[in-house]
Amino acid sequence: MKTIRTKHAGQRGQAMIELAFSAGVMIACLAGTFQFGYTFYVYDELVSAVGNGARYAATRTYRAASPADVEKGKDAIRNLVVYGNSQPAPGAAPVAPNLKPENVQVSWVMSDKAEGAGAPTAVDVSIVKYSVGAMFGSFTIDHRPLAEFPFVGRYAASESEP
Amino acid sequence: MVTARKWQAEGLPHLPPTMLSSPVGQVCDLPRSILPPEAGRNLDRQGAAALSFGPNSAVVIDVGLIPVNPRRRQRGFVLIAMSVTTLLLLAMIGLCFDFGRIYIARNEAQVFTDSAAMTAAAKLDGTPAGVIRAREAVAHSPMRWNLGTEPFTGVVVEFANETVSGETVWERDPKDASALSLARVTAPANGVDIVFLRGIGGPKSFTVPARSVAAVNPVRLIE
Repeated sequence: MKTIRTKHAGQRGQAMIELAFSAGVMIACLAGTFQFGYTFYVYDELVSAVGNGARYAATRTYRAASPADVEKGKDAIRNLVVYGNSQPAPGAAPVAPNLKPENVQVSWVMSDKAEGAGAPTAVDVSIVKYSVGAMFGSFTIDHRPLAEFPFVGRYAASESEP
Repeated sequence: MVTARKWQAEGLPHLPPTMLSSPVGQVCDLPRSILPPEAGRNLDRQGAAALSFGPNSAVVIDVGLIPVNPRRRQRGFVLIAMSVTTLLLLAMIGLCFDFGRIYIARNEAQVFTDSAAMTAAAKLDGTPAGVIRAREAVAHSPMRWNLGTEPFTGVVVEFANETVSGETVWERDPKDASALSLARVTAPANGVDIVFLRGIGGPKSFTVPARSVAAVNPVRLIE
């Protein structure tokens, strides 16, 4: 009896090599998808947070009894951007992972005056030096997203922040 | 090792002459097309069978060790499966990448129109100069879209007077600025370039317009 060897017997290893290559490409694609998707998600959260913070800043009372009061007001705005609350509870979770108040830049737009020397005309809120850590790398977000709202709140030249 | 099934050669059309002249018991390749329908399903074109010839007929014997590897019948399936999977993967990446950018652009545009509507409303002071200042303030907004890289273009600023009946007539260049109480800003031209979904039949660009309305006294967003 003659036994005929199938012509595919020598191709068993080839399938494994093909799988290794295609799995590498697939995993790279999935990792890239996750990386971009996660970064976009975080950026979208930041856009909303910055917008909310700028709106809050535009309508709150601008207390300018001293430079420390102006800075305290900025801290409240930073807290609102980061935690969604101007006075967050201890241990409150930020809207984006590892986002800290120092990553939020608040600038009062003054018309020909220094900060604290008059009512501001607008407020700029942006994210600075914030790193989005995804699976295989990180993206640094600097000076964006930025939101500028007109100041429509009350100007209290001699009031102090509570 | 021979299977029990045998087929009479009379039932085999187009038996190759070389096969008929083969010695009895010779193992030959048999094209699938000449085997009877009831021949073992495991025999294929590349298979072989033993032939035994009588004086007036031949008998085809299905040889047990000859059956073709069943996986051979699946040749081409991997190609189809890979094509479908790749398309699905591309679609998933497209959904993630393109829709992610679309959502961000929509959010950026909405924050911009909120800001611009409030800015325009804040500049209204009942004079034509106030209307001009409102328009200029919106035009000089530092806000950007497309991941904070591009300025907003084609922005439309309109003004209206909120009437008691609730009917609002929006005008880009109002003739009477004394009673204006509403400002509406539309950012209509934020076309996000589609990168991946275009490859599977999606559009080249997706526009995400945004609109906001602000009122005066006090300046506030109402829509």
